[in-house]
Amino acid sequence: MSQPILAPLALLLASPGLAAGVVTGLASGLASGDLPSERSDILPVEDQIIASHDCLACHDPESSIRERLDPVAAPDLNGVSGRVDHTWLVDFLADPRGVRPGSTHPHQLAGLAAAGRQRAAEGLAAFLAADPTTRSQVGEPGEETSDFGTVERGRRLFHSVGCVACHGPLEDAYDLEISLVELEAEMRAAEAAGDLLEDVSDEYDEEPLLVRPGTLAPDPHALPSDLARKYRISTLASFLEDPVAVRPSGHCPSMGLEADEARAVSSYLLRSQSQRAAEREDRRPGLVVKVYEAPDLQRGGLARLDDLKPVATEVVQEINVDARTRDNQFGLRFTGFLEVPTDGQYRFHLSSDDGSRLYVGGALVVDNGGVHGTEMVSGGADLVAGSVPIEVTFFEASGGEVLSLEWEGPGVSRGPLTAERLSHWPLIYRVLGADGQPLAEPAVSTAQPQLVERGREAFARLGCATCHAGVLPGRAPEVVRQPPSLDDLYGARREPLCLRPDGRYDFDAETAGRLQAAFVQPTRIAASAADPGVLVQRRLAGRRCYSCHRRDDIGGVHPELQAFYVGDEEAELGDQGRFPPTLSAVGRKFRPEVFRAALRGEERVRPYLSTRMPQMGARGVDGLAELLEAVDAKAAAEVASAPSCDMELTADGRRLAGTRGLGCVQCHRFLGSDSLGVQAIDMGQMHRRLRYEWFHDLLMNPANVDLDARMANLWVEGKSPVEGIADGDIEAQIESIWCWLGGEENMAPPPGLETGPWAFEVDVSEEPRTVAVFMNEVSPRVLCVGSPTGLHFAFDEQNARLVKVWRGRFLNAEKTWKGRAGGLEMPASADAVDLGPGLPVLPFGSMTDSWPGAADLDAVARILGRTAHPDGSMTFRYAVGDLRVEELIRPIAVTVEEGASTTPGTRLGVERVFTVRAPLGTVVMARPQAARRFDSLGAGRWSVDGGPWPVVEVDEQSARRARIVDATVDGAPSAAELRIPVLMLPEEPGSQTLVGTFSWRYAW
Amino acid sequence: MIHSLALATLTGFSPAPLIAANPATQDVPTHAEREARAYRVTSCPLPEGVALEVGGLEIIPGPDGPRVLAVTRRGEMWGIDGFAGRDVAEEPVFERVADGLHEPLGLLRDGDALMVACRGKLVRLTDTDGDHVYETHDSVTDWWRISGNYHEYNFGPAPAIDGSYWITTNKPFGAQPFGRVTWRGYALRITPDGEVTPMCAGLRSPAGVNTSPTGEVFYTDNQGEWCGASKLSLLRPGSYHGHPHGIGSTDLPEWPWPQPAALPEGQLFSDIAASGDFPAFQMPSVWFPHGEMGRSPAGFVWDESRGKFGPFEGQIFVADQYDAAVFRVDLERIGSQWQGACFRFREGLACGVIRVAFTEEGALLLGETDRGWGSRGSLTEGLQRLDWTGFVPFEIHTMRLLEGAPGFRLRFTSPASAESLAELSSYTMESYTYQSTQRYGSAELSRENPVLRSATAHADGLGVDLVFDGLREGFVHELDASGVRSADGSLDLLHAKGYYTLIKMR
Repeated sequence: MSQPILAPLALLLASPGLAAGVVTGLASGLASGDLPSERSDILPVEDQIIASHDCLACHDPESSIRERLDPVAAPDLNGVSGRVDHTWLVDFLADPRGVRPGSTHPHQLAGLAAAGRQRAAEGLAAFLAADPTTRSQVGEPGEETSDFGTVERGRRLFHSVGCVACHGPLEDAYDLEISLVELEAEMRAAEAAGDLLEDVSDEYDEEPLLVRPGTLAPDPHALPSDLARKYRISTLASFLEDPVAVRPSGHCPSMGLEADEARAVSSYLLRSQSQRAAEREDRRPGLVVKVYEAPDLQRGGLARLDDLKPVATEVVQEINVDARTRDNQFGLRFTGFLEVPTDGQYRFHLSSDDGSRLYVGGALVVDNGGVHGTEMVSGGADLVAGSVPIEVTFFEASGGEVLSLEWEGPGVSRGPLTAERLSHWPLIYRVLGADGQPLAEPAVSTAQPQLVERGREAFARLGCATCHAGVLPGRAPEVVRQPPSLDDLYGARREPLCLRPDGRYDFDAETAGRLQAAFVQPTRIAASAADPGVLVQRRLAGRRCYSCHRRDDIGGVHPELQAFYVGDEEAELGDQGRFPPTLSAVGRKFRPEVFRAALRGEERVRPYLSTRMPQMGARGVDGLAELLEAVDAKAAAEVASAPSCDMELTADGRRLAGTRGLGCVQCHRFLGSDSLGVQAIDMGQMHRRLRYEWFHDLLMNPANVDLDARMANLWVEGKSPVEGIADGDIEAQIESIWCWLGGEENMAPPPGLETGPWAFEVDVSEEPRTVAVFMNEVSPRVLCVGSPTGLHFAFDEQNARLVKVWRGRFLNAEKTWKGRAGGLEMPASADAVDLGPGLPVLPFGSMTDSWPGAADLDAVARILGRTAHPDGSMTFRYAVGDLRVEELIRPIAVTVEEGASTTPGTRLGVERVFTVRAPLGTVVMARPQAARRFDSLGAGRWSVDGGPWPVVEVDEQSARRARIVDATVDGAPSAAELRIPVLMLPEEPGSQTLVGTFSWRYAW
Repeated sequence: MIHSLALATLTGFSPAPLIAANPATQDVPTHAEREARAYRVTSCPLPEGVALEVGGLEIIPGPDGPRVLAVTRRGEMWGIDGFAGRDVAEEPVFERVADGLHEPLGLLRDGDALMVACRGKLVRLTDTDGDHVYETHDSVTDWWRISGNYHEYNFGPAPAIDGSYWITTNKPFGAQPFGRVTWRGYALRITPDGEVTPMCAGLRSPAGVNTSPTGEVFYTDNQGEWCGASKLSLLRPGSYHGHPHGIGSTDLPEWPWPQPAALPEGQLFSDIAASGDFPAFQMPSVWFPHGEMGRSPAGFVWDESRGKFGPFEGQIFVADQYDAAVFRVDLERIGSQWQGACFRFREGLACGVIRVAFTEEGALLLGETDRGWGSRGSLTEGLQRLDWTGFVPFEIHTMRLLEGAPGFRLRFTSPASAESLAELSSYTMESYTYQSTQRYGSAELSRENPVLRSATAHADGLGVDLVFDGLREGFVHELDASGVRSADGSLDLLHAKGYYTLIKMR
């Protein structure tokens, strides 16, 4: 450790290499073939400066050069006075770089004498405070508080979500594993021992870092050193929550921080403020105890506490169970410091019911874990005088609860740890101002109209609105003086005001010279930017995308920063699980709308990455998608076109994805469920996001699209290991998987995935299955019939009628097969049709009366039985009054040829074949369909409800008799019905039984 | 800063010493070893992906020896070859021969067809084309409604001697999404052409139903509200069994019997029976004291193996769904009342046992599932079998009422020492009964210790007559014969306790 912990920020920021603002480096681009190693190898320094200062905002606001430079926009002043400290604002305007070294803000008051500067700055600040748009809109600042947990959380967030990509780390990765409190304790102990800890980072520095060619050196854009003067915790937090609202070009992007996360990062960055309320060493007596509750503590024991959020936190003076919130199923964690009076060996005696543990100095000293009655376990430790962190964890499953800790050692006779020997960091700090006084609304005299008016005039005179938005037009006078345009500057030999020493900026002589040269020959600015490939590189360099992403041999996380890129280790994805993905070929990877959402940072599909895709706002990514698409489409040698899918391909794809196929499910998650092995991107996301040609190239060989891909080549010496599907044809297999993925959230799970909810998935890929269930909104006696055809149906055996048909996934029987079950089931696919109320056939003769219910005819419908057929069809036998009906229900493909009002196509549907027997004299009517309207397609075929689909088609015999009739369906007006008067003939000559047969097909 | 940590842990605590090896272990086997020596357990290996949550078991002739048919709670029926024969195959072969049954909890072979009680109907399954797959399902009846409540299980059918089928209907617990329904907690008689007659009311959770060799239908019920202790009872036509949930259905015209009266809260069953006010109420044949004799009696079967299953010919083997055990019941008829004793028999099975069935060769198949219910044992479902090894365990064979004096006659499976039989201190007895209450189960109430007056050993050494003062009708008489030793004195009884439910004195 080379620096004190919890030091004021200024100290941390003073470390060499972090002071920034002015960039030095090689001037121009690379010789072809060389890989860049610095950002400036891609983006010339003068271009960077012209962009970061947005020079062209004054000198050539409308030029295309300015657009290509992707300049940094000045902060929006809307609400500025509530956002920043008033005193800071005055000081900053009076001397921007004095207050904030490296600031790109022009020193517009440089030409005035010191007193005049101060007055002008006060005027400007007063104007901004008085103006209704710039005035505080966040309300009166209340008392600011913070706490250590929040600071720690912010510390981890800052170093993990991606802030370090631009700002660099504020601490060693090594130190982040220890809490600030423990670091402090270690340092103090080291100081007390008289030896300074070595700065271990120096040792690492001696190790040469293996830098992959093309990786750009870290180029940190240091955090401003005046943060603590400018902001308070709440105002910095609201800035961090949505930086793009204030800085519209998104060069400081939003990292997707939730309000509490933003507050945590703010608390960390402003932790010097957090300390102002009291002396840093001012620990309080007693320990902090966190209380946990969980219903299953006896299973995980103490380890469970790490997964739980405390339900209460308080300070206690002794170690016992008094803090508990209930008597069973709770846990406690005591933390703080123990004051050790003298060096020597100490013994600790820990009694508990149930389990407990004692840690001293981070080491386990007593382990009294497990479920048990009151038991005491002892342990010893050699301690040095001073304070040492201690922690006691405890849990109670059920029954009695007991916890006590005693110690003994040199000068300490055996007894409990007393409150005066225990201490803790205060939980909550009250934050004071820099002057040690409580924070309050700064005393700005808005009652000084002269001062405000002076500021208003200055705002106009100085041209502030040239760069700053947020002051309503008309609030300040129009800008009157125009700065020289690029044309004016062309060929100028005189040193412009901006570049003079002690002028608006303080560029060093070399930079000034380079800038002057650029302005003298403006064509040098953004020189090669006409080439889209170069333009892409410049955009990516300008936005520092290369700090995280690699694309075509450039960029990627630099070894110095790799320690801050951490992933969820349980995903077991190695570097792919912690580094953001490659951008090579990204322009042809995504579907257009997904690509734009991804660039906006709205696509979060890698839950294992701790780094978050920054959200730079619309301006930040404007045009980038088009640029990348143009460049990468050109680079794509061969573009595969997406396959047309059918049920067979889809079923093949599913099998290929399973364990007995190519094994996609071994590594890729499936609709939120864990894969069988590592936890790579969810298969349910792929079809939605990807373009087929990219997916195709990935599957052909992952190295085609990502040299670093963890994914292995699926094919062995150019052959598919799965010969039984599509004859082992690789192209056909890739197409199949794509078709299967096309089901997106309705995909059937791949074979082999039998965990979580998929343990109850009914697999019909090999053979038909039937499952009896309670079905939502139908009845408690429903038979679901699924088959490998992909067409499935539900028959209500209580009311003897077909109720639903659907395509795709069949059924997840979790509500019927899990635990006590008794839940109501639904089809597993949304591609389902409800067949409406009423029976399909009745003893009924009218073509004009509305279709009755079975009860109206006293014709009770009841199931008599069923026979399953090997092809997935099923015959149901039921009675409707005197009618005896046999209905065969069969999956079938319905094809519609091109017609005047239809588009051709084939869809999977259902065929229903009826045989009805009835006593002599019975009239029988069938009703295949009720709808809002029917359009005849000829030959006994109609499109339903305006088509082209659904389509209903009756058998040839019935087609001659079938009629569309006006009808009332459930009281709905203007409804129509397709009815078939059934031809009933004696079963055999002289028979008293009539029989009639008819059928129809339906697809949607 | 800690320089070094001398971890001297565990000093305040010494772990319990390992159980010392008993030098006599070689000679005196453990209880489990003694059970296993007489009755061997064999588990059926399940193929991957088969959830054999057994609801019903039957055995039919198969192409290669007897085939087990098992319906499962997932609605499938599996044909299993290689498990019910004399020898068990290393990997029995499974074939799915039906599916789409709604949580069937019973299976009955009826000629070539199979009868299954599902939630919504009684179904007859037939294989019309001889391919072993039962593709045709005829609905014999769906006369009763169901509410969509998970607990409305149906059990059976049991074959009545008149060719009809009897099923029992469970009462619901919790949500009834399709509305409250009638005829829950009943025994229903169903003729082959689907005519239904409600026979008995007041059942609670009637998880087993079977017909005795004499043609009477019995059922088992699970302890809970209005069922003070689990029991085995006779389904006497028109009888009422104490649970009032479905008693309203007896108002309906379909109930052909005199209307039963609901039982009063908190009254002892012994008093209820003695009062004469509840003629429809059927006292049990056997109460299974909670905990000692399991918690959830389910399927049961009479041993008609003619000795192939050991010395208990004619007795009843009862599965317990919680205890992962099988119990033994011996009944005698006193007047119109079947009553008798229950004994522990074999424990340590893989999972709670719900169904039992005898193979041709006298092995007892055990169908197991505990999904949603919980049980002892290491597995959640499966199929096992019990085979008698030929070794006769030292057991109480029967415990019956003594003729001529108040008391019990015990008979043993093998000779006992005459001294231990005649010794009064070899025995203790306690009697208790239960109350009718809406609370979940009843405590053992009105406890007394009948006084043993005499113990007269039988001359063959295989029995003893015990005369007691203070036997009571309507009470369980729990006998502990721990003092009885085998003839050579080396063994005590494998299961020394018998629980005789005394409803009627001789």
